[in-house]
Amino acid sequence: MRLRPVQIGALVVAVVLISALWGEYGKQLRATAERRDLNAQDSSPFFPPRDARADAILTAARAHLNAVAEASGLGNDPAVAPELQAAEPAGSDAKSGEVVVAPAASPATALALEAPDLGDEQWLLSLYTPGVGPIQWGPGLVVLDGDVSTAVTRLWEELPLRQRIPEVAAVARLKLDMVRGKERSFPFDGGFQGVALDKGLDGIVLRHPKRGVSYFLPSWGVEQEARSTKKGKYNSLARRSIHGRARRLTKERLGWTKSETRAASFSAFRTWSWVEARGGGGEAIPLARGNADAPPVTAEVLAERIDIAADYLVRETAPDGRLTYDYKASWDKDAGGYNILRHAGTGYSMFQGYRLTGDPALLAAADRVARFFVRQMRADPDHPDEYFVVWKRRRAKLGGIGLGLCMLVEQEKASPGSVDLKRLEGMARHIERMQNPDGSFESFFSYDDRAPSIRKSIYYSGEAILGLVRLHQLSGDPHWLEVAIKGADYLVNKRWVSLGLRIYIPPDAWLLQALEELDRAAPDDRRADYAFSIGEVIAGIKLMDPESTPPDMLGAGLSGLQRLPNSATAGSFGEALTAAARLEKRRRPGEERFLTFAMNNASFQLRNQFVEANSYYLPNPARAHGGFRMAPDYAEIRNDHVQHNLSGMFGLLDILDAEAPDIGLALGEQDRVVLPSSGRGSK
Amino acid sequence: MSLLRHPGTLCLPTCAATAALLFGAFNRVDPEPPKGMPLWNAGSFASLAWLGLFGLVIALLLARRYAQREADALAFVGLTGQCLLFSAGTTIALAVGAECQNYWDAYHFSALAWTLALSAIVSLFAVRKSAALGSELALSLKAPAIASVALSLVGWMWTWSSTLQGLVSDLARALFLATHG
Repeated sequence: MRLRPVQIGALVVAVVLISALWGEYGKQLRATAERRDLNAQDSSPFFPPRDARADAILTAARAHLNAVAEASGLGNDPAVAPELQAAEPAGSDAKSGEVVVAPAASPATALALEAPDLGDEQWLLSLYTPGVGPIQWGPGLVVLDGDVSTAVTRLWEELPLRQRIPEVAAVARLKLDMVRGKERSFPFDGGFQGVALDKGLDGIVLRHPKRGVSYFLPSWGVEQEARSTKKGKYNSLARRSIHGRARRLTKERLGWTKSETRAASFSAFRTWSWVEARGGGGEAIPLARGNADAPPVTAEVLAERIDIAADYLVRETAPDGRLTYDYKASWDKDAGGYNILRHAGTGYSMFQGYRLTGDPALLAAADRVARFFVRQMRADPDHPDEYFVVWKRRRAKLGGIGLGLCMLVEQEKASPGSVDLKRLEGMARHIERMQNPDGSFESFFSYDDRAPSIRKSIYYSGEAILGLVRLHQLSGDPHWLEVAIKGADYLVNKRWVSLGLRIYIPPDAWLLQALEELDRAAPDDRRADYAFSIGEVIAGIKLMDPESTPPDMLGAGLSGLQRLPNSATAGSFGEALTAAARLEKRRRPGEERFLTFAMNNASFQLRNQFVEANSYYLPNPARAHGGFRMAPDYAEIRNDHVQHNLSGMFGLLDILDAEAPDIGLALGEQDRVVLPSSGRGSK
Repeated sequence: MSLLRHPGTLCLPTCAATAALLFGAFNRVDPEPPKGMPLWNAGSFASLAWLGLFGLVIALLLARRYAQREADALAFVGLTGQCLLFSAGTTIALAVGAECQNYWDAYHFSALAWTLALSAIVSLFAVRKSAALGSELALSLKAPAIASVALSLVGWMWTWSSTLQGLVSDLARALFLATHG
């Protein structure tokens, strides 16, 4: 058959279109096909209900654990039980995940408890012992076969001998998994991109005819992380690596050989799980995807969560004012690195926290953070009254001085009279000097003859404008408002508009906040519309429909196939969406579109703040408490994650509670500060 | 001499600009290139795109004069237009992929976008004329020319239509939910 020319053309069009669409969506379409009816699996309710049996099992297990720990503590005294001193740690030589009833090794095993009813279900009991054993090794795990005491004894005896003390039991947490439904097969390594497995929802069971059974619990999919020791890089465990990690842990924990783990049959299973509410016991908290359900977003909850986030920052502020930049909570390790721009942002949020809580320790820590920042500032050699900021001879970022200005203004609002006003004005003057005649800003200041950068940061301008707006709120000086308006108008009307096309609206959370607060002092419809457009862009890349979204993902952003959504950006987008909601309240009375977005976003934020309920698997839960992780499957706590989330919640609280501090508080005439050259402008 | 008389000769300047643009898109667009790799500034891409478009319009005007005795002259203009718009589209996609939003002005993106759209229109015009005169090449280019104009329209609508943007978001959300439990 010979094709006619028109048909050839149509064929070419079809091929090009399909190729382009496949390039954009091909991976996801293939993944969708690979998963087949996996999404149709019954997953309701998403969070397991309270279960009397689970409560009973955990209660019995805890009682036995405390008893066995107390007995072991006594037994560690050579005079009391010398035979325990000779016992080998059981963890390293356990060969199978199946329950092997150990002979009674201590008097505690003799403590017989009434066996709770296990029904027909299969139950798995794990023991998380913070600070004990290798990091990322996973908890001790046994299958319950009716005798809770034996299972707990077995878990206890897997601990190294010197750790079998009451102090460990007092911080340990028991977790219970009940297997739901039937096991299902899946392709090796999860098939294409590993999508046949869901992170945190699917566990893996390996069976070997000689070795027995090994379990990789569903929650381990989010508890386990990846680290490259060579490159010193950390990340969440990629979805396609879950099956490989299950095999590796089996090899390391149970002593299987590599060929045995590869030869083993494997299938996926799901569970309902519960964990003790706190170290040392407590009620059974339902878990899904390794996380506890979040409370409804209310003013009280937000205030409480801001408080513990601020406490985290206080704990992570050194005496010289330097903050912990990057704490890898799953590894209990500081990863190092520093960023002075994020330092300034964090200080800003600490002063916000102080405005809410009035905690003197928080103010003291925030003051140290501010002083640290001021020490990094330098005077412009050509204009000695103007200041920029650099960290160790890196580039001098406009955003750094913009956020620094936000921080110092917040400090002055929180603690009047505490800031050097000459310095404050010098920072604003520097920002003004970085402004071009068309209103745009240079992103980097060239100091010490450093080569100028061609980069035009999307976000630095918004940070600088917000700093100027905040300075106007503090001083009432119209000059800084004018500079801010000029900068905002450039971004709104020119930055992304050319030749009749608006080619882009970036999700610029800082600019949206600046536009909202600018709208209070200088209302303008175009600026307000642009602010709403930024809000729409942000909401457009988020899961906002409670009907179709798993409850723990509501408000989350979209992520790739390998990892779960990023909760760090939920913080900055929270700042933006709450600003849009405040603007909506004033400009579109009666509408709650952005407020709904902000509430959904906040629910995702709350889920990813470490509190007692969801930090059960960390080696040092006390240190992580209050911090915000990078993602549900990656417990990296960077200071800016905490800042964005804290400030976002602070902004939402401003809407939900009339008594809460105003995020964009403009001081009354009698309270305003007088800048050294107030009203005279600069340059 | 026979090469110079070939109807496609008119399009050589645009072809050169197209090739240069494509070369730049694949090799010189990364704003923070590995050491030793030179970077073209954003203006180079915009200028090449305008040059290509200018050459295309001139070629169209000249080709119309030959059209009665050489129908393929206009068809070659149509084909060159298709190449130019492909090149401009590829450059936009690679620039966005390389996060040139942090380095380029709106003008640079707009220049490429307008080059894409106007090339599509010129191409369609040339192909229709040429097809009416019986060029087989033009007949096979008809569908791509119509499709490229339609795609340009969709692209233009996407810059302002919240409905269209919403559809793209909905698709992304649906795919996310289909691939995550």
